[in-house]
Amino acid sequence: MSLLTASNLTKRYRRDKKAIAAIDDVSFHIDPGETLALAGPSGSGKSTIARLVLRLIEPDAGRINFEGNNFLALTGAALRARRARLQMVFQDPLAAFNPRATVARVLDDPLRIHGIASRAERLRRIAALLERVGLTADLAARAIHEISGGQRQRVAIARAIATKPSLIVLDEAVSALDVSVRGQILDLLLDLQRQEQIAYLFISHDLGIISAIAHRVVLLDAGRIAESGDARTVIGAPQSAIGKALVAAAPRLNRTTQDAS
Amino acid sequence: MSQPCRFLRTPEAVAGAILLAALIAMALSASLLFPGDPQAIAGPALLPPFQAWSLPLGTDRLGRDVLAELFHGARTSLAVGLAAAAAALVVGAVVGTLAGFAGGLVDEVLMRITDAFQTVPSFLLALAFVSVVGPSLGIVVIAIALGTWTGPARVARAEVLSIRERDYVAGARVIGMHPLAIAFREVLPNALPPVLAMSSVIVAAAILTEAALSFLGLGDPNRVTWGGMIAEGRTVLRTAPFLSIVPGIALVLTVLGVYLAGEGIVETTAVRRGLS
Amino acid sequence: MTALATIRDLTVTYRRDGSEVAALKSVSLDIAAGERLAIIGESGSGKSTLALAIAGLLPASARIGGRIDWFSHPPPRLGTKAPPSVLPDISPARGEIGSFADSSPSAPLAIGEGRDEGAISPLAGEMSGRTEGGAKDRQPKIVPLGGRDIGFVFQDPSASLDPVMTIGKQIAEVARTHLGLTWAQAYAKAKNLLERVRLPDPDSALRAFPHQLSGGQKQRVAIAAAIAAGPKLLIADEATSALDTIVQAEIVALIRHLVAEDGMTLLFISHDIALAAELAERIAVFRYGQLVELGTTAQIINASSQAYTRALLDAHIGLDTKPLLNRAELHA
Repeated sequence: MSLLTASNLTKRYRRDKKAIAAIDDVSFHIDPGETLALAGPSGSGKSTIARLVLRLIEPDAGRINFEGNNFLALTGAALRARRARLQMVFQDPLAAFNPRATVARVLDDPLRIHGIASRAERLRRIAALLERVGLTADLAARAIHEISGGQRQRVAIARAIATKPSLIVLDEAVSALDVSVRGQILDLLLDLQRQEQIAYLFISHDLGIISAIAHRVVLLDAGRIAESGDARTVIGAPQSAIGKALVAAAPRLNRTTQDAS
Repeated sequence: MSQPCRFLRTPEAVAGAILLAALIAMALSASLLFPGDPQAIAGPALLPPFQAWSLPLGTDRLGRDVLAELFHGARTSLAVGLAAAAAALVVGAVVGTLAGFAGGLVDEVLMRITDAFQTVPSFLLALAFVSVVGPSLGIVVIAIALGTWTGPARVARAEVLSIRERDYVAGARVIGMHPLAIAFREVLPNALPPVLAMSSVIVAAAILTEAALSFLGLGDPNRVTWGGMIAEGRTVLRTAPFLSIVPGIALVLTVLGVYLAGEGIVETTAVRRGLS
Repeated sequence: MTALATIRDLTVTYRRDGSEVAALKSVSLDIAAGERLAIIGESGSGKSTLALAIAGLLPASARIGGRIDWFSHPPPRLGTKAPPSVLPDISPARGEIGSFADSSPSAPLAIGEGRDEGAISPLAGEMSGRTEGGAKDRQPKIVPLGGRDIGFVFQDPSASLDPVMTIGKQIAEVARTHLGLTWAQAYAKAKNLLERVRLPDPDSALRAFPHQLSGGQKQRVAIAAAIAAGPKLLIADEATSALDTIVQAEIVALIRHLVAEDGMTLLFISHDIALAAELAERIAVFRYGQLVELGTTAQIINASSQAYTRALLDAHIGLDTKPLLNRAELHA
């Protein structure tokens, strides 16, 4: 059974007295423990879908089923409680946190809100979370703006897994990181997925990264689904115009020698 | 560089801090240096300043020690000024944050209330309030706050409207934080800096408003205030101008000190964006 | 190889809150006339600082050491000091660089030297060790006039375009200032430039404001403004990093085309080594303010001699690298 099923999602915006469909009749599903990538040029609606799935905005039409329940029907305290199962990692690790926050507070918030542990136990959990994402426990006392971009994104991932969610939405989560750090973060995400069976909704315009970590991909073009299927198959042989354009535009190294890695 | 260090490097901050320190010292030491009732008769009436060692600033129409009144008056001015400003800032920040964060009907209602208060000149509002309810220190504080809370409210709301769209607010929603918790734990602390930047002006205005109310006889009659002293000296302005000038100078220096120190704090706490 | 500019021991130190940060440490390299050179590095490598130093756009508080010498074929007209053009609000380090205004052909001015250090004949051996070109290729050293001889394209087009001025006026302003055209001529040139950068409907674009355009369109306008005065050198500082893959490929192709058409030299700053490899003839790899390796694209990509460069190449994740995901682990 699917973890998340989105059916006929539509979201319209008004601009200059015209209604523009940011997303038009979009349907997809995510299975437990798999990575579904959403790819497309800017303006194609990827971020809008992410926000709809996270209930940050409400759709004009359509249904979302999450863990067997009608997700859109939840409101108030029930919705907030259910949010423990569905988390997010943002593109900009600096903007994703309160500028005045420390690492400890950032990780304490989700634990405290969902009543996961007593105060003493929470401190232990925070240390465990930091270690799980490859950071040292003494980072907890540091302020968010003091640590590096890669470390910040690891803290963001730690916050996302704190409530043991079944689905994490990653919106261009590695695009703002240095090249040498990207691989490490992606490895961490895959490791977490293997161990905790977390599904990912991975949004990116970079097909290279998608082909590295996604099981399936959905290609969006101007708010509609242009193509979807197994990631390697779609990227290897795209059928849609946008698919072909995205594949052709991706820069390639064309190395003739490869170091053993 | 630590914040106290940066503060001390700003000339206006240092000047303001010195003036404020002098004022606070005056207020705190009033009972020590001038025990007893400052409104008790201390010597002959209308003694000019620098004539007698025990009465360095002379006496007023009833023979009360001007210096003692000055020191005790500092307490009132400082207490009322700071309390009124604090009340205005707290009420303004809370109203502005609620309006900006909630949006919709709540925003509309709160903003119309703010409009209503803003259309009445703040001094007249304070005047009317004290006249109706009766003069006492607490009432004066409330009266002044009533006229000045709208400025911080608008500034806070504007900041909140922009902060509301930031990623970390969305992040707080995603982890399931209650909207009120988001408004007051995540948004308000980050919306405060421009509100606090107004604080020095508000404190200065509060002190002056209190002085004006006292001048008109609407201050607390049991307390010595600088405004009251200026009022007392009005009738003998030609023969004994020092009775009004001395508290007047004290007011000017206080307002200047508060303003400079406030500017210094704003300079110090401003987020420095270095080269990236 | 005839050099457009030679950089020797360039050192740039920023002063921030009392502490000093060395952004570039003793960097030496040559920029050949007409070539496409890419500067690659991660954050903190100094690549943007190098671009700003070459363009004379470093802030006044930056300390600069070393020298950048310019050659030009044929020598451009020396005129009045170049006013700040469409470039954003970083004040040029006029004090450190020395005055552009009254330089004469026989008095070379290099960054880091004051005027009173005297004229050094271009034929004296300060280019020691470089045998390419030879003395007969040396022209009198001319200091470039910012905005005229160097075009600069920034990463964020929203920040480099004035939001309250129409597109047409911004480009026309560049043409008018540096080429001395009348407004009518300048607007005609602006329209011609918008056609060259393939902006759809140039006529209405001339009257449009920046906020009405998309990110890719704004960057096309920024490129048009940068080449409006016919510069010898075009510097693109992460010019495509804020754009999505498809638009990025279009802009890179556009830059390549314009540079070839106008015979400009291109300095392309990027963190994406694959993108650089597709566009550049030579690649310079930077790390922590130092030049790690410099060579032709083929050399760098396939036969790098530096471990850091190889690490960067290995870290690249693209369509031509193997996936991290082991597909056999996929749920049944």
